[in-house]
Amino acid sequence: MKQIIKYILLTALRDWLYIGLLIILAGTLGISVLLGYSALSEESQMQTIYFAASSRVVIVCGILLFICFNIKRAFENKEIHFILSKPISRYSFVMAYWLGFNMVAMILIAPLFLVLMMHSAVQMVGLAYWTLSLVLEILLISTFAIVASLILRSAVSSVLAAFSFYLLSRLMGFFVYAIKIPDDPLDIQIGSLTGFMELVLKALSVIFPRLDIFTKSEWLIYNVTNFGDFSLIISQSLIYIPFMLLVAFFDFKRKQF
Amino acid sequence: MSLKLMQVPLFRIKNLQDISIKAGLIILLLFQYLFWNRTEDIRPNLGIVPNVPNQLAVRALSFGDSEFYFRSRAFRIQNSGDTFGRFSPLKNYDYKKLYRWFTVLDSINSKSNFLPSLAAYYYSQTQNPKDTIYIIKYLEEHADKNPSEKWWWYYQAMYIANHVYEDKDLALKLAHKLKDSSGPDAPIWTKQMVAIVHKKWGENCEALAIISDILEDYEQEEGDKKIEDKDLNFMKYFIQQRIRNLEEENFDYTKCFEKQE
Repeated sequence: MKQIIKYILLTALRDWLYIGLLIILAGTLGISVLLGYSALSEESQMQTIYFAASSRVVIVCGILLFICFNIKRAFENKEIHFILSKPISRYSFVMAYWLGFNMVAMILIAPLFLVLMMHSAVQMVGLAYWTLSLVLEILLISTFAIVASLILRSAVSSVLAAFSFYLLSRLMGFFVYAIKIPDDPLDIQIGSLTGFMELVLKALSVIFPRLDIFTKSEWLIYNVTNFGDFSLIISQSLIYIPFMLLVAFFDFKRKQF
Repeated sequence: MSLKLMQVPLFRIKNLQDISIKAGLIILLLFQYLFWNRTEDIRPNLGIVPNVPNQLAVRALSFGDSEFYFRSRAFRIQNSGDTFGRFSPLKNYDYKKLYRWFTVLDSINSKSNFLPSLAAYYYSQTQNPKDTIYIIKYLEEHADKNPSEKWWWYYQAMYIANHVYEDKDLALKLAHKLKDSSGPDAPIWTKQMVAIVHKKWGENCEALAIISDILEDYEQEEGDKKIEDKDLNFMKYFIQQRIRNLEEENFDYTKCFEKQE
């Protein structure tokens, strides 16, 4: 298992993931500082929010692409067949991949945390919560990317599935806000497009995680004001990450090589 | 005859295909030129103030990170009209739309002072003073959300109402809000603004009565709250000036205090 984790960390290095993403993050920092300086007031708050929010998107996109293409390449190059020919269970294999990818994500989050820590506008308690929430968000989304890559045949479709999942999960707050299903089921207008869409959204909101409550930039400058939100984040992660891992175990156990 | 013609290289099928592809390319290029010729004057309507989204759209567009949406849109509003190498005079801005942007963004983050600063220090400089009513309205609403901490924006709204929009009643209403909401630790001038507005409109009697009241109140506190010398001097000077003006108008200034009682 350790060897697989080391191998994934090495693959990320070989694929220039660390250097590539760090260069993009440095560019993001530069643009954020520049935009912040041209703001009429609250320059440092502007810089902090621009950098934190765009870095989150950069890291999530980088990790999703890396996971999807890495797993597909491992299938195509028969690396998975080779690893499974060794005395390792399929569960351990999935767990090793999951741990490996998430360690790559942690390596990328560390410099982001350090840069934000040095920023004057950042509240330290808020930063701690923000970073923990970002870690959980990435754990959740990377678990889904692993599942999508194991189930779907092409790398492109797994990338599309992972991005759609991320966007829809981030939009869940909007969906929940937009759904106005009457209390009495008889009042639901099944025939109308709006009624139908609301039912679809309702169904989606049951299945998808609520990523809209994760990693809020406002914590960085105004601190966490509602700690209730944070218990929701922890609960959501404790439910969804093991759920996705079980889906991955279930699918990988049945896979024929 | 036709068989012989087909043997000539020009009429061979392969050559015919090549010629038709080349002819097609030239014809389509010509069509593209004609299309450009007809459409080159169609310019995108960049507008000045972007359209305002509703609350539902704001929730969707923020993707769960409303603070980032707030900051990015606030920055966009700061630069609206001055993008793509354009510089638009403030009189051309749609202030009603600006007001709606301010209120929508305020509903996301009312703690930030970025938008009120933008409204008070930049957008109030419009060449069309009537438009400033939207700025005054916004600043008042923003301060209403947390008067004890945001009283500065009452002052800004009052200043614009008094000197730019030139509405005495509105300025007085805001000056009273400023006086009532700024706490005991606020600078003394926050209490004097009602008198300053009265003075601006030539109402010496009311201005005199208010400043005298403030002075009296502070004197009654018996040293708990000391007034700085410069403030004391200002109030004494202000009272002397009002008395002199009233005397020049042959008005008995003692009546100002009677009216007050």
